[in-house]
Order: sequence, then C-alpha cells, then structure tokens
Amino acid sequence: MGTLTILIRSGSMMNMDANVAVELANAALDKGHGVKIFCYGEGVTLAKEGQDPRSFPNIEEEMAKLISRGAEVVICSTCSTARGMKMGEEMEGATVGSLTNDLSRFISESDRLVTLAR
Amino acid sequence: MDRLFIMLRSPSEYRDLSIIASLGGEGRIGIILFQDAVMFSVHPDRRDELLDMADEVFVMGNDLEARGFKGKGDPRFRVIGYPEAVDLIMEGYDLTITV
Repeated sequence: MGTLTILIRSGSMMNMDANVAVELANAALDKGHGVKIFCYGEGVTLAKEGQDPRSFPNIEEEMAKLISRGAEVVICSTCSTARGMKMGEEMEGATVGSLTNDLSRFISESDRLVTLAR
Repeated sequence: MDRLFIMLRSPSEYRDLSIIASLGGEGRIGIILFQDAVMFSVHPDRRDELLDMADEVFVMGNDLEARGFKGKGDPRFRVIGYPEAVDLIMEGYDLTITV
C-alpha cells in the first residue's frame, strides 16, 4: 500500500472539489492507503470549525470522519489568517501548518499527489 | 513516465486541450473526468478531440448519474468509481496532473 496526498485549494462550498477530495480520501483509506490532506487558499474552509451548511453536505463532518480513520489534515496558516480564520478556529483534529513545512513533508512522505483546484 | 490527467471542468468551460499534449510526454496518457468534465463523454464534437489525446479515458459514473447522463456516455469512455480511480492514481500511472 502507499500514501496519497490530496492538495486542495477550492473552498468547501465553491464547487464539488471538496466532495471529490472526501470521496477520494475515503476510497484510498478503504484500500489501505495512507491519506494526507493539505488545505490552502479557499481550501482552508474545509477544516473550519462550526460549519453549518444546512441541507448541503457538511464537509467538517466528512473531514472529521477521515481524521478518525487516520487521515492527516493540515491547513495553511497564512491562508487561514488572511481569511480571518484565527488559531483555534480550525476543526478538532486538524493542524494549522505551512506549505514550507507540512506540504513539503507530505510530498516527501507520499507516493502520489492529487491537486484539486481551478 | 505514464501520466494521468484529472479534469474537472465542462467542455464549454475548458476550451484548450493542448496543455495535455504539451505536458503528456512520451509515456502512456490517461484521463479521468470528474464533475462537469464528464460531459466531454456526451459532447458530440469534443469527445473525439479528447479521445485522440489519450490512450485511455475514464469517466466517473456517479458524476454522470448526478447530471442525468447515466448510460449516455460514449462507450469509449470507461465508466469507473472511486475505488478504480484510486487504483489508477496509486498504481496505474506514475504521476497525476490536474488541468
């Protein structure tokens, strides 16, 4: 088995990229692969705590399930700060990190990288 | 090096496919169509243009169904689900590029 890193720049409600990321991560975990998700740009909203999209899919809940299954989720501190998302407003289980430290580590630790962005 | 391209946008939104040829290189080229990109498989003009660029083209079945195109795609586009997409990404190809 291998490790898949998903790099996502699309926001949680922008289009269906976040849903694709969740489905892909679940399918990879089902097959026994490791999964790491790095959120940057609007993608930091995937791991914002307290999401309430009413009748639409709740990406925070989906991400929480992935984390409970062993996925590692890091969001970019620069991008979240730029969007007024303060430290402590990330969802439980997600870590605030950086492209330089965490994304580079993810890439070095992974067998494949998939980018979801427009 | 075999390259797998991921496409997300519809044929009317994504006009220029030349980037696939320029990034494709010498090895095998595969394409997976997600979201609105699945409409390439039912587009009368652009499906052949896409098929000409790749050795194999896959289309996500759930995105076809969500858009009302179940069973209507060109049979040369292989309908797959997420498990097969993971296999293609992790084992079928060396590199994945989203365009």
